[in-house]
Amino acid sequence: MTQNTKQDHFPPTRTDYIDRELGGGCQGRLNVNRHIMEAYAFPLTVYFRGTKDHWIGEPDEIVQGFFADRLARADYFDNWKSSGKRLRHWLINGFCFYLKERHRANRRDSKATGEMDDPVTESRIAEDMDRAWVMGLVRGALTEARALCDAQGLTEHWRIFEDHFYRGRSYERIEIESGIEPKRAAVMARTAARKFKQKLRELVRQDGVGEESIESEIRGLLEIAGVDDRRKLNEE
Amino acid sequence: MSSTINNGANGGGTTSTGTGDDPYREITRDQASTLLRIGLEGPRRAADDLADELEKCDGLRWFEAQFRRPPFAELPHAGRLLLSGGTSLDALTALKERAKSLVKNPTTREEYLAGLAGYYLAIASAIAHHGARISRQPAEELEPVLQELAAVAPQPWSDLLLAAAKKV
Repeated sequence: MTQNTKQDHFPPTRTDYIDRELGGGCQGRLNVNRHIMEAYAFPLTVYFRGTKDHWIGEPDEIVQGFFADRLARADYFDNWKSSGKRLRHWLINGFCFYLKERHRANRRDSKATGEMDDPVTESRIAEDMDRAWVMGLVRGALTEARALCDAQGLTEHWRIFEDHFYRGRSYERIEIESGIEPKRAAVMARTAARKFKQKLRELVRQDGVGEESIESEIRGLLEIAGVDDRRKLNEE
Repeated sequence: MSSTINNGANGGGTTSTGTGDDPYREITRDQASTLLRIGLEGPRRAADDLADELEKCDGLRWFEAQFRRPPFAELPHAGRLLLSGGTSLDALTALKERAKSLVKNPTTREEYLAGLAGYYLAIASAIAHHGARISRQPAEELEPVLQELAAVAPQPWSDLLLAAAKKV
């Protein structure tokens, strides 16, 4: 009874957020579009700022223009499904094409000069986009889990989770500041950690990852996040 | 955890709608890695399955539904008796044993979860109302489990579990 090494006796049914919403007609499509814009605007903006194309417009304007153009296409998500790509990779591919279109349009207007980026390579896509996406994903999960804890009367639990797992404070230090003994603080942090885990996995699932692949996907994201090179240097 | 990455933007994020209010905008790669590891499935305790279920559903209604099925069905007015302490220690031990066999050999997920609920509520009621531990689980393992279940259970079950955690 103490340990259950199986993930779950009866794993929950896979829920595919995007499929479910798209099956819900116009409102569902609007919900998906809103989710895409909230989840991917940040990494696309980061990507755009890193390209030589940044002269063609303001990052927010370019990214919103891309969303307006692509998300209006009726077959956009069908094509994504057929591609077999992660949603973020599908979006960045489309974004690169969109930048080319904007670049050509600007040249036709002869109002701008500048060199076009070479077609991006798969590795470059993965490196730039994934890293920005991972950071946004973790931030999103933190924000959503905090809201969930607040709504469920677990604000104190979240504060301890944040102090320990986000700020790296020991439970002993937390006791000095809050008076909550380390053993109790660890239990409270674990409760909040469960909320964070739930939100993180939900967001990963929304990127088009099946329930059975979430574990390996998160391991992949860990590799992408890596460690801060400057910290490595400081430690040398 | 002292350094930050230059991600080229101050705001945004997966769900953030603003640009300046995101308290996590300075997150470092080290912090992100630590947090991503929390997202992985580690070794699970059976109680984690019950906690996960309680987080997903309407807990109060869920508990009420469980009391109409095994392992609770053999104990009339189980909900009221568990809360009030009106159940004998023998009856609580019997409930815990029925629950344990259901957890070990469930035919459905619902049976498995009902078994877990019966197991922990019987233990909690015995501790809270009779001051008796009817489980061989060591106190240092049982206390955090009861506390974590209390954090996700609806009232008045949360109070019962918490009272037991404090007395264990």
